[in-house]
Amino acid sequence: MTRSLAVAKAEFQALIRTKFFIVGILLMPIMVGASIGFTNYAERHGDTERHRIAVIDRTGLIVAAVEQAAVAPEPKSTAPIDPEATPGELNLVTKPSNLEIVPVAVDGRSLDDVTVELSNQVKAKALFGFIDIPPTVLGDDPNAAVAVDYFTENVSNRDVPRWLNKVINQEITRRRFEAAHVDMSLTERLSKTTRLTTRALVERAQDGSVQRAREVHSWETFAVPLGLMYLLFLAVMMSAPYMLNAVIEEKMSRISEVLLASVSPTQLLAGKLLGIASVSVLLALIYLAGGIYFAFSSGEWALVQLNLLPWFVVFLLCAVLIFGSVFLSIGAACSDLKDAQSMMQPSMFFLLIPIFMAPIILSAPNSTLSTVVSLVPTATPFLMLLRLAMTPPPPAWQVGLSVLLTAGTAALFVWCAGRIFRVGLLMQGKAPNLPELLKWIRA
Amino acid sequence: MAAIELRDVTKQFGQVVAVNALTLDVPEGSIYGFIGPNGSGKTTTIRMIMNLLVPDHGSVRVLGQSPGSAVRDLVGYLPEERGLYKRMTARQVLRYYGQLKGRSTSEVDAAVAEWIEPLQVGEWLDNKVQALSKGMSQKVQFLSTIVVKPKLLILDEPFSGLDPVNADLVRSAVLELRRRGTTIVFSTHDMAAAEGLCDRIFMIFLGQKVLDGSLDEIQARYGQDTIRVRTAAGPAALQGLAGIEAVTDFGNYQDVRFTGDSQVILGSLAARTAVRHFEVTTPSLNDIFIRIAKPPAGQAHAAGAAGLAGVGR
Repeated sequence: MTRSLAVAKAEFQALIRTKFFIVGILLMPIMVGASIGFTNYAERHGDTERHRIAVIDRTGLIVAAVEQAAVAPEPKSTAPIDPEATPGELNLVTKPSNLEIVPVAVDGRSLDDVTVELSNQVKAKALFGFIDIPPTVLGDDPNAAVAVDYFTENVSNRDVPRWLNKVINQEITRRRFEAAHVDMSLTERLSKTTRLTTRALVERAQDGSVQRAREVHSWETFAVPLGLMYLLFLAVMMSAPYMLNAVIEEKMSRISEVLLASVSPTQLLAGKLLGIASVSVLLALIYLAGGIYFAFSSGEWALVQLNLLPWFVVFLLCAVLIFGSVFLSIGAACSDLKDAQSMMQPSMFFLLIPIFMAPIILSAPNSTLSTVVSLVPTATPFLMLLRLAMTPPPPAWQVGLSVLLTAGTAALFVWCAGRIFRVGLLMQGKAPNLPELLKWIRA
Repeated sequence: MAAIELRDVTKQFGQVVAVNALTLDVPEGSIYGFIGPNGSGKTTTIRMIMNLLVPDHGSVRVLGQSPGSAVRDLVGYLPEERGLYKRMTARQVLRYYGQLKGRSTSEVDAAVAEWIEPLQVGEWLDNKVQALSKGMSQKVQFLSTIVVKPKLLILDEPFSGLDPVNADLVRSAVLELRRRGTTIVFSTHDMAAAEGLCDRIFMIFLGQKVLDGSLDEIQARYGQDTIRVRTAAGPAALQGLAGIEAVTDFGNYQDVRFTGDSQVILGSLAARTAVRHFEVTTPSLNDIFIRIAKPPAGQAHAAGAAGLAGVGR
């Protein structure tokens, strides 16, 4: 055991001193934060192009409102913001920067002549785009198919058409209400929607009192499960593949032979797995501590679910043993990185399956499909943890069964890796194929 | 007690018999030379002694025990191809390898301190391995095998890559270890080193033992069938002389295998050129090695080891 601990200590120290690990640990949150911040900034300030829009208003009644809206400052919404609502549901439309509205009169020409001329101006970059408001747009016949056409080369820009759509429809609605002699503000007050609040279940305390159930935000229901699952994935991905490279390097530089002259293949494998596990736990602890600090400092106490910690550790260790064994076996079996990379692909596929399955489980955590995939041992550490972090949690028998299956699989994988290690570490040359690997395991 | 006992050991890889029914005893406290051409089975034999490979047949005993974890700690092993962690310092490597053999850091440090001067490695110990020269890396690797104070030391080509000064340091260290009672198995292609250092020599060829004994015993079996000669005309003067079977040209002198009367050959040679040195002697280990391992012109060793009995005499 002391030999394995010596190997584990050396592997741990080697891994946490790598630039990959230090950069990964420190820079990943900074990079994620920076990329989110940059995306937000770019969305707001990135589009500095001049948006010169020509408007053919064949009603003659709408363009003035559009011009006014283009120069007016954006009104701040006074309505309470529903924290549950998506930006789409809130109808949040940002006014594009550098907006200029240019009214265009048809003046006896044909509409085709005007649209061709405006199209040429768009091509010549004199205009960003133009719209055609048909004369029938103010009619209130629900069966009439009336549309305002927007012409542009910049079809990927969504802000301009969204803003035009909003402003034009607001003016059309206002004019329709006016024509019908209906007070629009009264209609708005009367048709104000109410909010559906999702809460946890109500329970009676021992003293007989009933506490008001806690409000549960929808982001809260997936942030913690997904966060834990991705953290588990990250912890495995940052340590196990590194070990593969380390084993290949040891093979290529013939260090393996020196090591095997001092320790048994089983001791060496155990030490390496322990090293991976230690690094993974350290990595997870750093991120968990950061997450808990963030939750406390932002007052989101509900996000901290310490009851999940033991499960996280159990499943982290299982995942490390399973995928660590696989990656170490690949390293032991191959003599160069090229062979190892091609052998890694199926393993990576198994590692990524839980990521692909997560949305399905988030939408229906206790469905038959969710139950089945979360009991597949290579996916269990990620998906059962995901389910455990959700409400309602999976039945206890499923959790127990998943732990048994995964622990058994981990033990089997470690045993197989030990066999492959014993033969592979001294082999040089062409990487073995699957039948040869099975032969090594049975030998 | 023999430090190493191999009994009828066979190891096969697929269709290739790497080691065939090998029996060998390495006496305690001796320096035992393992020689043999590339691919003859030396490394396989060493790996079986180190328990890195398991024999298909036969038994291996090391220091009186079956090879395993208990014995492993008592054996130092320097493989032919060196392996050191490039990003560690030399001292870290020595401590790590020592820990793997069950030694504490203080034990390793004390042993390192003892060998710093004899091996002249002091100023390099805190440098990263990747910054060391090939020779210094070699000495660090050698040091890693001896700081655990092994009872049995297996050295596979310990002098390769060393300049004469460093080779001499390592040679002195090997002799000092033998003086302290360490059994040393020394695998090499350097016949001069084997002749100089080894108490006994074992040669394996095509997986079979073809030589085993002291240098004197081995040479005695070949008799005085060699003339070492130096002439003014060089090797050209030897061409076509009656009684000459083979000539090994060393440049400044030639070793000649002969049959018949050496005085007749001397007379014939003196008639052709000025003879500066003429010595009837036993064949060198290098010559014996070549006689065994070099196939006669037009023949390969594909016939296997079946005809080896005669080669080894």
